[in-house]
Amino acid sequence: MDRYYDPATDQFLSVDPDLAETGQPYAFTGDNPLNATDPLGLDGCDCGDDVPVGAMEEMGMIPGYSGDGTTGSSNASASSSEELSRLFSNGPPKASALRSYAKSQGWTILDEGHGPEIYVDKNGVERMTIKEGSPRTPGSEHDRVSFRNAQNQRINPNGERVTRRSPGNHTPIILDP
Amino acid sequence: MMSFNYTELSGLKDVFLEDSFVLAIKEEPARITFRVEAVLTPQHPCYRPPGVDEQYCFSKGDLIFSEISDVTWTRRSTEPFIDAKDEPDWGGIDEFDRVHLNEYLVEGHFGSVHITCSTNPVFLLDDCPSAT
Repeated sequence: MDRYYDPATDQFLSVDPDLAETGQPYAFTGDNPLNATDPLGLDGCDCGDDVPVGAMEEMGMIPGYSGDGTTGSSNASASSSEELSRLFSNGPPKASALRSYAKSQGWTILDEGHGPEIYVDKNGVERMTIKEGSPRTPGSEHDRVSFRNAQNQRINPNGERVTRRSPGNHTPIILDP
Repeated sequence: MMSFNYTELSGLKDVFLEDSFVLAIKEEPARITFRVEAVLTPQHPCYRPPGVDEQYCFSKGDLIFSEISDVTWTRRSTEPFIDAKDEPDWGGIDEFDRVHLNEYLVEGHFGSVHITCSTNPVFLLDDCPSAT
C-alpha cells in the first residue's frame, strides 16, 4: 500500500505501513529520517536534495499535478520559499511583511501573552520567531527573525540550514506594529 | 507578575538569556537544571570576541533551581530544533519571570514551566570561576 504525501509540510501523512511488522516507524529511511527519504514511504534511499518529487506526482500521489513539472503543490512549496527569500532581497523587511507571509502559509501565532512572536504551522512546528532588539550585547541590538523548516531544522530566509550560533540564525528585520 | 530582572540573580548579571540556547533539562526530586549555551555580554569577566561565524560569545553553564517544592509544566515540547551540524537544542529562554514570591516562570521552545523553590536560582558557568 502506498502512502499519502503532504507537499505543504514535505511529510507523509501516515506512518510506515510496515510498522506493525517491523515496529520501527522510520525503518523506511534506515532509521535516519532527517537525512534519508523514501518516495513511496516504504523503502529507504539517501536522496539528499534530489528527492524525486516528480515521480510521486506522476503517480498521482500529489493532487493537482499536471505532469509537466511546472505546476502542482511541490512547485507551490518552492515558490513560497522563493517568496520568503525575496522579502529579504532589498535589505531587512518589515515584520508586517513576514506576518503576511506567515498567514499565507497557514501559520498561526503562539500567543502566550508575552515573549517573542512565534508562528507555528498546522503540525505545531515553530516555523518563525520574531524578536525585538535589545541593547544588552553586540549583535542583539537589531530586531530579528529566525526560521525553521517543517522538520524543525534551523534555516535562513533562503532555506539553507544554519548553525544555531551563526549570525544567519538571526536575520535583522524592522519591527512594525 | 512581580518586578523582576533575571540579571539580579547570581551568575546572570552579564548573561543574555533570550538568545542563549537550552541544550538539556534535568529534573530531579528537588532540583531542576537547565543546561544552557549562554550568551555573555562584553561586561562578563569571561567574555571574549565571538568566534568565526558566531554571532555572540557563547559559554556553557547550568541554570539551577534548588529546594523545589513544585514544578508545573503548562506546555512542553517533544521535538528539539536541529541545526546545520545536526546538533539539537531547545531554543532560548524567552521568558524568565518571578510570578510570586518564590515562584518562577521559565518559557521557551522547550515549553512553559512554573517552578516554586525556596532559594534563588543560580547560574554557574563551566569554566569561569571569577563569574558571580
